Amino acid sequence: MEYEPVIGIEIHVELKTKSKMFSSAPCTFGEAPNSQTVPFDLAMPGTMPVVNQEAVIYGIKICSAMHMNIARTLYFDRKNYFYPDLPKGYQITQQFHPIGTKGYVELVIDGKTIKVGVDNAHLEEDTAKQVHLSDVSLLNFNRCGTPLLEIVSDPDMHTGQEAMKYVETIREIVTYLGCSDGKMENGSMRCDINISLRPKGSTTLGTKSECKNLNTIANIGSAVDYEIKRQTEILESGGSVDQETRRWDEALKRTVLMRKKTNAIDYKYFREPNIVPIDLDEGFIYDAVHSMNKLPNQYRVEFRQLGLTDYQIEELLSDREFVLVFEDCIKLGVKSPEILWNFLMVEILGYLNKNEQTLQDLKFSRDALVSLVNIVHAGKINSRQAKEVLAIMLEEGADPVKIIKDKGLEQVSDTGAIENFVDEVLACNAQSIADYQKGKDRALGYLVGQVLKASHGKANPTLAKELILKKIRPCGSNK
Amino acid sequence: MLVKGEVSATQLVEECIALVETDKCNSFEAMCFEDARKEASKITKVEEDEFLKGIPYFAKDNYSTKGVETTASSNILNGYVPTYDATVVSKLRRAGMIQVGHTTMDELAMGGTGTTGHKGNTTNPYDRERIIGGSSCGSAAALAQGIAPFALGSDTGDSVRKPASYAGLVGLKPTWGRISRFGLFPFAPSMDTVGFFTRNVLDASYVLSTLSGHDNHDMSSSARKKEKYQEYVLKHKSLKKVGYFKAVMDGIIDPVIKKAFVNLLEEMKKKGYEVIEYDFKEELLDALYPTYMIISCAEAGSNNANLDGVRFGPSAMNNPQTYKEYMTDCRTRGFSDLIKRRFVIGSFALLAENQPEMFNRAQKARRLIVNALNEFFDSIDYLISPSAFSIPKKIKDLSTAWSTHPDFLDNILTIGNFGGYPSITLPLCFDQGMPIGVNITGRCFEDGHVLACAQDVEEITNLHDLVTEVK
Amino acid sequence: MIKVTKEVIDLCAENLLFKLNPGQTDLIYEEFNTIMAQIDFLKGIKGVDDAEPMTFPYSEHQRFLRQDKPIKPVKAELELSNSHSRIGNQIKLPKVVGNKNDEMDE
Repeated sequence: MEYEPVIGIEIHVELKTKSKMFSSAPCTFGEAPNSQTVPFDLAMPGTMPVVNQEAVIYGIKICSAMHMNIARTLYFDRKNYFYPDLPKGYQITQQFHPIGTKGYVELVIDGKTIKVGVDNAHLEEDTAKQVHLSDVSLLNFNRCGTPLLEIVSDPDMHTGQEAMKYVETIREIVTYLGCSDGKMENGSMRCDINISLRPKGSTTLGTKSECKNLNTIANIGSAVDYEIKRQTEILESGGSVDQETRRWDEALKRTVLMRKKTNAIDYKYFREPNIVPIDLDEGFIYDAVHSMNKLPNQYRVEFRQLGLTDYQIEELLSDREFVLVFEDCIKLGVKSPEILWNFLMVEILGYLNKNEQTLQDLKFSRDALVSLVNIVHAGKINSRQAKEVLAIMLEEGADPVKIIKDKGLEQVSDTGAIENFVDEVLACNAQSIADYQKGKDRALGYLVGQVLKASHGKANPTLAKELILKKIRPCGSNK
Repeated sequence: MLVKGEVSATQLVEECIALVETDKCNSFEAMCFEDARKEASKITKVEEDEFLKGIPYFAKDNYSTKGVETTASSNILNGYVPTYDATVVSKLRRAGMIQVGHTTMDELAMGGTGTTGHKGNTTNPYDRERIIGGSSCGSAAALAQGIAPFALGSDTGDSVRKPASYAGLVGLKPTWGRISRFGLFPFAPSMDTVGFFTRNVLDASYVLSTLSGHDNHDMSSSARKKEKYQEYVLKHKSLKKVGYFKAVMDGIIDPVIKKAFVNLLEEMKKKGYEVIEYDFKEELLDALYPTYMIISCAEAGSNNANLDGVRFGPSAMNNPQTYKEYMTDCRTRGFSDLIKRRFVIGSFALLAENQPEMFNRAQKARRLIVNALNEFFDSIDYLISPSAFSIPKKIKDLSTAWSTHPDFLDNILTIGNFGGYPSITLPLCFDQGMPIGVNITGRCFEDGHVLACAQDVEEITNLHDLVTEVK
Repeated sequence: MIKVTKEVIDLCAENLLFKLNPGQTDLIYEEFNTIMAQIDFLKGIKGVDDAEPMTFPYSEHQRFLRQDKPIKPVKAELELSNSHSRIGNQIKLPKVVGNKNDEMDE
């Protein structure tokens, strides 16, 4: 029998607010243990939750980017269970009325666009961090209460590649919106993947396994592919898949069993009585939606219109900071997006990586970069010279026009001056002229080269070529 | 007297501290005499409009007070010294009131007898064999003994208004959301209300003016404008339609209470009130007890899940090997049998499979009760009723079991919590030497009118500023 | 509805992380007889199951949201001053075996 894998994904996104979801303690990373809390974070008796406006705004933006319905009234619920990292003995979440419902994201795979449904997205709070030593566990409440948006997809995906692309797309959305760092490796984005198989053509879902501990996008692909293989083997040998939670083991390159899902905990969900329903007025939602940053898919369309290749677009989109510089330069009137891309993604990126710097460290303005691109585009200097100028700009930050002038790099575009060089060269290269006139095109290149050499590289090659042609045009081709 | 300089804050505080030593009813938890003396010494001048400045008070032991052990009279919080002040504690401090210490309560505010706290029975100063009622027992006992003129209580079912009734005091439960609950240890937040005791209605109005208003730490605190509630009292700004439930009137058996209540209604008519008998569905009155118990136990189990001995409270003994053993040891030793029984029942009512039949059904019954009350308030301004229908029980006759045949009269005050209504109890009469209160409940956010009506009642009964000498 | 048995009662207590004293399970079991009768009474009230469950005493909603401005956190020494189970500025517990995912869904 042929089986069809069905995949659904839950993603916890840590929101990049300044303070916590329900308390005013700062959200920071890497501070001394328990130095970033207020009494609420330790669930001191009598403390009460107060909803962070920015977390709500981020929630609205992300939901809006996923084409979801945005709740007009916010409700919160309690999820009750005991665990050392959950000081209140319950987590405040949105079980019954999520901030976002029923949307979708579009994934582009091999040029084809597919839609993956998003069932809901809800706001909640992160737990404390535990460190396990040899004989004790330590609790650090700094992370406790960090806002989370949990995004729950529909079971719409069928391959490891789709799962990867889905997570990547969500990551792009949340990072482009500036709502999260989206770093899977340090836990600011955490994925749980549900995978089940069903006979092809069937519409009911099979028994699923849930896979955790996926901290890179590549792991997601590997884990899904592994699970599909594992479950297929079980079904083909006549067995049945157990409902269980599994963990991706990076060293073993396979998923391993964590626990069977029997006796699931009853979380005794009920409405959080300390948070009276919050009406979001239309203006508030409008402002949140209309202050959204541009999303990757919008950029894809725009950059394609500028003539960039898919490869160039994806390279550029991998870092929003570069996209912003690129976009600014376009606005400032760059004449060649292609040359700009090369400077940004090859020279500048290479330089920054080598020196462990970021775009913020650049010593020159966007105007200077535009000016350099346009000088190259106009043919005033060649690309080798441009690299030389850019190198100086990166090191010293001077204005490109000044560098060119100081270094005397500007190409000679004065016809009279070039004509002198041309005459000089033609006078001592009779053989080449003859060759060219016989039809050997290569001879023309040689002559242009000689002119450049004579001018110490400053002659504008296009002009030089035109002048040579004017003088040695082969017989009979004069139209 | 403070304003005129005839007495100083220090004198008042010293007198209060001396009286604390004379307490015969087991009214007190941790005290903060030194802080109180220090605060008092800072008060030199009191202006005419600084009504509360320089006056000593007590807080029920469930108000987070920085630096003062606050235990909700439960062993699980023994030794817990909060690092922050409840909003009401800060507001009183800003108004110049001086906290002298904390008062006993039923454990975690879950009880109505004043006998379930970790310090044992708090008794009624009018008869120490009898209960004073709870859960705000210590605050009521302290005031009835004249130890202070004001004390904070908290009211989830009738925890201020019932003891006020048994102690001859004014007990106010304002509208839910009128006063911030930030720093009040929660019992059932959907009904919990900051309440307090005074010995006359005017004092209560001054305190409410000080404590009311929105608080950025409590999202359930109302953004509605605060008012000068004393204006309602001083200017007699009462509404005029007062109603009682026929079933309640018919249910009053005690002849002294009946006579006093009927008399009061007659006198109110003379003051221009229209008194209306209202036929409230008895079925809904019978629903009060189970509805209240199921909702409050369910919420309580969740609210008290933070009490695990990890971040505060006594630590585990018996060498626990896992976090579960650690927390289980703390919670097993920390909670009394009664509390555990209530948590188990509340937890059972919340299980996914049971919730529709139990917790949700109680929430639905609450809706019907409140809808019916709102209908009452559509045409009538106040609901009036005795706050108690017999003198308080003797301690030896108590039972902590779930009531098999609850009498709706005993639970009539929960109405105020279901609908969030402002509700005040004040003395009605004496019965066998024991005070009995009368209760007035009004529409949400009409706290001022309720106080004004209470003032009219106080003028009729002429029972105010009662203090008893404990035999 | 889950049928009330003494095992269920004990399990509820276990999940609430406390042990019941001898005799308490029986007492709760008896109390449940009363409670279930009262639940049946509530069930019998006309219109109860068509009513919207009520959490908040009145229907007034809130518009207030907190500005995202962090305040100065409380110093760890003070914040943990009530814990009797500490190492330095961290709270210490018996080793939590495995990880949370062994037991909890997030």
